[in-house]
Amino acid sequence: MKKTLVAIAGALALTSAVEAKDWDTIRAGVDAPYPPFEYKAPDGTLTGFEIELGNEVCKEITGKDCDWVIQAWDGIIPGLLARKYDMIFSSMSINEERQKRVLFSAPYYTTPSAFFAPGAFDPANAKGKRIGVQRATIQDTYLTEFLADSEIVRYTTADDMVVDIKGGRLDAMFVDAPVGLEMLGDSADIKQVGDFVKEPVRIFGEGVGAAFRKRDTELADKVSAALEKIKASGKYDEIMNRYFDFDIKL
Amino acid sequence: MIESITEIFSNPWTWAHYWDGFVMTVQLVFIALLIGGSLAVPLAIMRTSSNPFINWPVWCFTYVFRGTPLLIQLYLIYYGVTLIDGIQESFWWVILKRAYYPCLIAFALNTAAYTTEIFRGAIEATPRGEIEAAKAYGMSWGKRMKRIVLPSAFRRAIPAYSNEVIFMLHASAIASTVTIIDLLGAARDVYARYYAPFEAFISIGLIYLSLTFAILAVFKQLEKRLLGHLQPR
Repeated sequence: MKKTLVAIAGALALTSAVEAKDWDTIRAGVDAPYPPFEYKAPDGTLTGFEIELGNEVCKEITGKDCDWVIQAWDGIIPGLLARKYDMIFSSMSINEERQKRVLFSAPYYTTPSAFFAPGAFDPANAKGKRIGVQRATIQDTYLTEFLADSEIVRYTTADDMVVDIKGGRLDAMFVDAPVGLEMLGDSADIKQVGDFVKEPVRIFGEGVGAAFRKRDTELADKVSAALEKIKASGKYDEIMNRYFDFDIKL
Repeated sequence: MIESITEIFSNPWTWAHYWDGFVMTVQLVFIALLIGGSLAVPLAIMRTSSNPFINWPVWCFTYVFRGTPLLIQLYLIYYGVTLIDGIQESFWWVILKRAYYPCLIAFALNTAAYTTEIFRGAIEATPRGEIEAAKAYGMSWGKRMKRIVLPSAFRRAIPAYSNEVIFMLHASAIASTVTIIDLLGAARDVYARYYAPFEAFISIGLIYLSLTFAILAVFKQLEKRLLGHLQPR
């Protein structure tokens, strides 16, 4: 009996030693397409601002690119908790609600949200209007709280929503501004309306961070340190300038 | 798990949302079955016709709708209508703008196709003797259909039709893919709000299960009353 206990204790000690391993690959969960942050190039490979930045981060830690796992947004936190990947690197804004479930790295970029509409649209007077939003995003939280008298139409992916606004089914949509600008880039009749929306900080958070399981503090620290290094070396600006006309660095 | 269950279900929003989803699912399925069923009767009669010009178009319809997944039919109708020139300005757009009617059309046509084939089988299984006897009484084709063929065909179709009703209920979950908040749509919202997949999906699984049992109970009673003469003693 005692021997078994010792053996079990030994095994447990071993597994905890394995827990504190050096990471040789980092599996990163990402919701694609979400251009220009992550999308598929014509040849089928994943690319985008976050993919390139994420690969730099992984290279700092493991010496090779991240192992990307595509996961629809509404399942991205459960997927992390279920160990389908070790980090979320997918434009996840840091806010209180999410901090209850996951651990965040230092923020690495911030973008405002914006309304896009095919015609006249006033967010202050949106009663009964059909507004599209991606489910479980901070934009969803904002609409649910501040525009509750409009008809909120929730989508699983951003591209479904764009198809519907182009098809005339929505009066407006509320998304991350760069995503809206990129996805509607070729559409002449659907334009941004109103100013960028950044307030309140309680909902929009203090920027976008990589998310980890709560016990992976060590990995989170490594990623934060790697991001710091990439920003200092100028690599960050180089990637950012390839995708954006404006500064999103944090 | 227990904490998240109490957290989710102590919030009245969850219950209200599930109720809305429940009403939407039941309403969609019921109306689709009603429309589909009433389309299926004339279609099944046409399908049993020996005239190829009557028989063939119906065969094509059932072949296409039974041969392709309902999800694809729904996408074609939901996304397809927006491509029709000028539809956004027409009076039809009021109906087709929301996801509800495109979805209802897809469901009704799909169940009509399956039900047509179920009824056709039942009509063709009418014992020859009954038809001959009806002819001997001098009944016209219409009278024969109304008095002899259809009543007994409907009775024979009940067990197969109960399957179709249950399949329709389960297939209706795909309505949530086009932004309709049915039971599955409500569960997705709960899931997204609490990041709790098991709690959200198990609870609607149980609701679908009880709905299925309710449908089975109704059909069991129907079979007892209308098919009593065919049951083993």
